[in-house]
Amino acid sequence: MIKILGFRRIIILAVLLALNTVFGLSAYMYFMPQKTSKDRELRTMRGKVSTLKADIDGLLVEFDQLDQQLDTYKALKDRGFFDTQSRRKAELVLQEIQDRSSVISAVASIAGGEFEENTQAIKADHQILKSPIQINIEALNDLDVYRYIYLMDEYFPGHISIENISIKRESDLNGVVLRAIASKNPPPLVKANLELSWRTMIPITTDETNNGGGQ
Amino acid sequence: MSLSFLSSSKTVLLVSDEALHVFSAAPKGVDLVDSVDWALEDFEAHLLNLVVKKCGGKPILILNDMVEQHYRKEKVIKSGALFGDKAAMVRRKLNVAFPNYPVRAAFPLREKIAKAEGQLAADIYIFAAVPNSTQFNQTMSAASKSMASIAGFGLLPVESSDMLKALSERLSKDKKAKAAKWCVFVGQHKGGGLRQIVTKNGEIALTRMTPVTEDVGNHQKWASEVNDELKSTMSYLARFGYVPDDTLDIIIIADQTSGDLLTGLVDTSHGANLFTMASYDAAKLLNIRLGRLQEGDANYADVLHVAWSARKGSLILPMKSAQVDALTKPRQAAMAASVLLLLSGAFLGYQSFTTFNSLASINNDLEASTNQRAQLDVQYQKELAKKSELGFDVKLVQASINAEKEIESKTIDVIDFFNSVGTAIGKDLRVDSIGIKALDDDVAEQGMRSFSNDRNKPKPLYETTLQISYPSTADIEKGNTEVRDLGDRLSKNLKGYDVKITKLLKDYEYTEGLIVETGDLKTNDLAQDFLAEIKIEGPLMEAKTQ
Repeated sequence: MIKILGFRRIIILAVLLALNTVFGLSAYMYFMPQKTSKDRELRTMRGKVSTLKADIDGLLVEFDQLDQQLDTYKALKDRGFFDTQSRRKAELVLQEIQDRSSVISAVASIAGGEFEENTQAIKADHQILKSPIQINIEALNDLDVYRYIYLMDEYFPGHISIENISIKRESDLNGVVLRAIASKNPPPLVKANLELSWRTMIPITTDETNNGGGQ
Repeated sequence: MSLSFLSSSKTVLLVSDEALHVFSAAPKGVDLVDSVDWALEDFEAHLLNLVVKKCGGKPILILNDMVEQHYRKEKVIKSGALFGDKAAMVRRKLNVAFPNYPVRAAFPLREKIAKAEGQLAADIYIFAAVPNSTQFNQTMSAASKSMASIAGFGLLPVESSDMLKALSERLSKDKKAKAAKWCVFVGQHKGGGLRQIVTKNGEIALTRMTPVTEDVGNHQKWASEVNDELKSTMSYLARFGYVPDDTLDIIIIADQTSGDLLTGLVDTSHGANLFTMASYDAAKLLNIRLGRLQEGDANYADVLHVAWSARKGSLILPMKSAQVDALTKPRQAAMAASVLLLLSGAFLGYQSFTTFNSLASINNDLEASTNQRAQLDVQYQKELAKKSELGFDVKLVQASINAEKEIESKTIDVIDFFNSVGTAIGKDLRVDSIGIKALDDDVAEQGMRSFSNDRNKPKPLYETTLQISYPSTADIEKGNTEVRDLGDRLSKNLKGYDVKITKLLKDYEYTEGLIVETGDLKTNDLAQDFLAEIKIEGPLMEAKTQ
């Protein structure tokens, strides 16, 4: 073969083959896998940079808004919006409201709480605990009922929303009623039935079964 | 290692009976390097020295110009599928025609035999062969040892046949006219032989190599001998189908004096066109360069043949033999492999280079991104530290406010609502009952569907029912007016609410329990109260959230 092709030809072929091998191996076994890997790394890094920028922007926006929001947040905190709906505390507040509203009687029952879906709360790793409250009120005057509702709205911890209210005049003033009032044993002239929802925002815990309840 | 089929630089070995003439063909021209006598003692070494050193190892083209080269015109019947491969048939016929000549080849002429009665259609082939001579072996041996590529092995008359056609075309007075049907080319080679080539329609028809006086200075004698040889050739032409009506060009390479003499000698009475010209004039016409010429070279045509053949990409009739193939095929394969490897190397090199560049660019970007991330991370940590210094969970602050807003948007400010209703009722009217009921999303939506197809219409959050009773003795018209007026006042006071009077006094309603005692009917003391009802729907979800 060397006699026919000559040493020079064979050397040239060998050099070309070696160059091909070197270029081929470097392109396909090193540069291209490296490029793919680094490309992926770059995309990930750019994603992280982008996320970080967004986070910083978010923080700056939060700082701008924070001054205005802090007062609202403090008010919510003071109102017990972050309380875990202590039944004992609720009982005391209800007693206080009943006394201050001058209703004849108010029978309140608080059912067991349930977690309500709320995307805003989840953002801060919290959830909304909602407990239904039913109150049957007997009063001499519908104004006492309104006062009761007002006091509930003002002083009951957390957020109270109305589900159902029914206020009905039971009887008119007559001699019998007036005499009963005079004897400091007033009969109920107005009956009201309130169905309310009590909501507070509490941290998400691993044990979500501990959600209160009772009367 | 040159690319022999692409390069016009070649070493041309002109094999003649007297000697081996070595020409160096390059773009700048063709030069006779040396003529090596076959009988030279160190022939091979001398030739090797010429090919490798003097000619630079360029690809070798071997042109056979010896007297002993055989041609035969053969018919090859046009074979159908039943007769097998045409190339195999030609090969078989060639073997039969020249069984003792190892170097042989065939090529088809444009001339064909048409199918006629009792005669099959056939192609006409020129079969050519060269004997396995000592000169041939010496040449091949030296070519093999030179390690240069073998560009081809051809027969000078065949390879120059297209040169005749080109010359004839360019010599024609009418530039648009075709070349003459017949063309006779006469040229003396430096070795002494007079080579005559006759073409018909541009394809070789006849060739002769005859001795002629080497005393080119004796113009009269030279012209006379050339004329005699030309006459002999012309006498053969009739056998090849020439008739006086056919166009004929006679081109003789000769210097001015000999040319003039020949013009007077050559018989052109049968209508032939005679052209005599020096070799360099012919080269000019053919647009080829001859290199350095010496005195007397104007008479020699061998350099013209060499220059013409050297610039060809492929030969008309490349001669085949085991000896030639043993040299050319591996070298051509090596050359093809080298070209392929060179191309693939270039491609892979380019790819490596571009990928490397791209990788370098990505690395730079990555470095920049990493630095940017580090800087942003520092900034983020600073902001976080500021945030933690505040003592508040900013996320919780915002989320709780938003959550509370969301809950608040679905509820009613009942005290304000009662206040508005109370203002509307005034001092004279008395409401028996008031009921407020939150509407579920589903119920509200169902209601919407039943009343309107417009799904985008905002939904009311609550439904409030007011009931007002009138004694049975009340004036219905007056009562109804009072109820309608109350409805109007409510509408005015409650913006964003829908107030509807659902029942007026004239609609009797049994609302209270009834105990009938004996005698009641007689006394006609049983009376029924009127009941009016107003429904208020609202606030609307959208209005509330705004």
